[in-house]
Amino acid sequence: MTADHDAVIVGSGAAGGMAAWNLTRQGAKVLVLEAGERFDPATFWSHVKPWEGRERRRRGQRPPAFEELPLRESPYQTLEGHSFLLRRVWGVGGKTNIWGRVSLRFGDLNFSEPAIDGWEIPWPVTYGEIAPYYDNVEKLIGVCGGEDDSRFLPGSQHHLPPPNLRCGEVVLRKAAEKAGHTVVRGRRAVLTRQHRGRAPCHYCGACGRGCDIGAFFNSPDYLLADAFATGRLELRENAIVSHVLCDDEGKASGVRYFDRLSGEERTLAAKRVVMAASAIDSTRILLNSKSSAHPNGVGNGSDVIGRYLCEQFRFHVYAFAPQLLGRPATNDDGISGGHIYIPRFEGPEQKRDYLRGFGIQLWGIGCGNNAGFAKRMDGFGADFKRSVRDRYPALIQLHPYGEVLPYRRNRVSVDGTPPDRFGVPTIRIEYRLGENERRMVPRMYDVVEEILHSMRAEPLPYKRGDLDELGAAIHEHGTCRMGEDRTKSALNSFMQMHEVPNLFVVDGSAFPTPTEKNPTLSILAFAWRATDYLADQMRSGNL
Amino acid sequence: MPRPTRRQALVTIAAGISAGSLVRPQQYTPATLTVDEHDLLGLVVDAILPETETPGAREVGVHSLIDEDLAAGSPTLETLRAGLASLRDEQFAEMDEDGRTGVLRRYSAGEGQARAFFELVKGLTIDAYYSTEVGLVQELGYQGNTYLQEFPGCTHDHELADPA
Repeated sequence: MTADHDAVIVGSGAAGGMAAWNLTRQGAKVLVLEAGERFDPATFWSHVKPWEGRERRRRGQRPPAFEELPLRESPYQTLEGHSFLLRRVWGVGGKTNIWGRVSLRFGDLNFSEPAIDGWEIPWPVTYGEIAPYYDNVEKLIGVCGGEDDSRFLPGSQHHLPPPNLRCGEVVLRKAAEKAGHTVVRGRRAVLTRQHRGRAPCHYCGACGRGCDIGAFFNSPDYLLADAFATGRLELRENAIVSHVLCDDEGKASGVRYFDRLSGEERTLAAKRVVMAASAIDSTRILLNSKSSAHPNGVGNGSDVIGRYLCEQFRFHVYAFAPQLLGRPATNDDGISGGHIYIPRFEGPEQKRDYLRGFGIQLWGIGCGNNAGFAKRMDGFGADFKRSVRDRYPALIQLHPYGEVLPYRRNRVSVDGTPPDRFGVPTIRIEYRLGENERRMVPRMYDVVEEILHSMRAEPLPYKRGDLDELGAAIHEHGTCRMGEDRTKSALNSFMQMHEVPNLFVVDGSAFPTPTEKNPTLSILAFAWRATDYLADQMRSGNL
Repeated sequence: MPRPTRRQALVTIAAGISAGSLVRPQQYTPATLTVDEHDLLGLVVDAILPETETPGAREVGVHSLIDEDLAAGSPTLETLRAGLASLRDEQFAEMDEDGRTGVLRRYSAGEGQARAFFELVKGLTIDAYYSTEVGLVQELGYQGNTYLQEFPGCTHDHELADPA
């Protein structure tokens, strides 16, 4: 069996798209295997009003089911009493088709903190090493944002203009600043003006249903299209990869996959394999790839793969801004999601009883396309109805995101039952918060309440201490982490396996700790850096 | 770009509402509930979101939208049926507005099945009513999901004083 391509990439989302883009432009011939199919932007329900959606459903039409395929093809289990919401998109572009677009650089503090506080392993990369890649990514994909720069959130010279603030954001910013907090412009991978030939956002507010014109970063439009244009990319859809195959020396020699449509098992040879199937699905494949050289799963002599699952925990508080009660409704769609952000503001030098920290996201402010908030208001009848109308433009929301430390016990294994329809073991997730997170929660609620008090907001009922379902942040990390110490990590700083030099893992599983920030911008930067290294190694004949 | 006032928006919208986007309750044949249950539900949703300056939930057909969304055999349906049965026993349909309000107030302040029924119907009513063009646009003034060249954002910055 001979390999037709210089590299086989598993997955086509942010990480796989970046790997394909960066390798093909440097001359490599690449095959991308994607478990799902292409989503056609012409079928997105971006401009379907709620009542039109109902009409369409009556006629039997449905919007693209972005998240349906993995649940059907690869269900997962959790421990009883410990739920974990795993949201995945199988299909070309993966989650970048519908992602939240928050694009926050990890800062020097994020990278240095694990070494300072000793939990768990240090990052093998400094901010200075990754900063040029942040620059490159921002220039490539277009990120709007402000001119702020702090050690909690490093600035950028490349931001597109930020969108104007909604009324509720003006009020909220004033209140938070009065309470002593820094409020910055949101940083979002949305084009607020034309960028590299792509049309800007038209502020329809429906990003979560997929963008019909590709005005926010997504892998198919921004990465795969360029890669195809080189003539060096082959993309195979409906290819559910199950195993990385290894030769007797333990080097990666190919992959096994199942054709989703025919059900046939196929094997292909590979000179180099780049895993980019998203944290948990890449981990599943690695753990299932047992061989004589790798009895514990490929590259897992250290027994760290699958362990240290970490992300962010969060909660949501809803309130009404008295300054906006009863005002005429406005079009608050903007770029959908927050135009402002409250970055983390406490570091190791502050006296606290927990490590790391949290930032506060502020989406869902103002007039939306529903009045779900009314369900939590008391009463009914004509006065209630008028009260709902008065509050509709005044809705504000605070969403703190806290870092969950990596714990060895929080893990993904392939002990799920039953196996998938091809007989391949499925995922089981064991995940719990620890003492550190529990200590952070009261502080998060305190800060939220300070801001609410400062604007004299009228909160909807909430219970201090309540948290969103774990996993809901959709930022899984840690299960195939990079590090200097090969007994405690699976990858080096270039996301190359310590034990298998021709196998790279370039998705979020490689991050040793999640930080309090959304990861996609960082995944793109790290995948770019890793595949620069891979391309160098190929050119110099080392790989 | 000048933005339409709420009033202008409403006039435009009222002229543009297509008859096809409304469910006409009198023509609707319930798919899951019985005709009697459906009629009774119409009275309940209308007590929750009645006619004000804009049409009430019953006129918009919210009870029919709820029926349309109900899945046979779901726990939701069981709760709904049990609640409707107890309203029937209380002769809810024969009461005047005050009487119905009193019953629902009792349910909303109560416990167990009555409370669960009230919360369920209230939630379903809110979701359905404010997903219609009448509820979302005419009542709330929603102007979104459109094409804008620029996003104006807040234009009355100076007016947003803190309340006294």
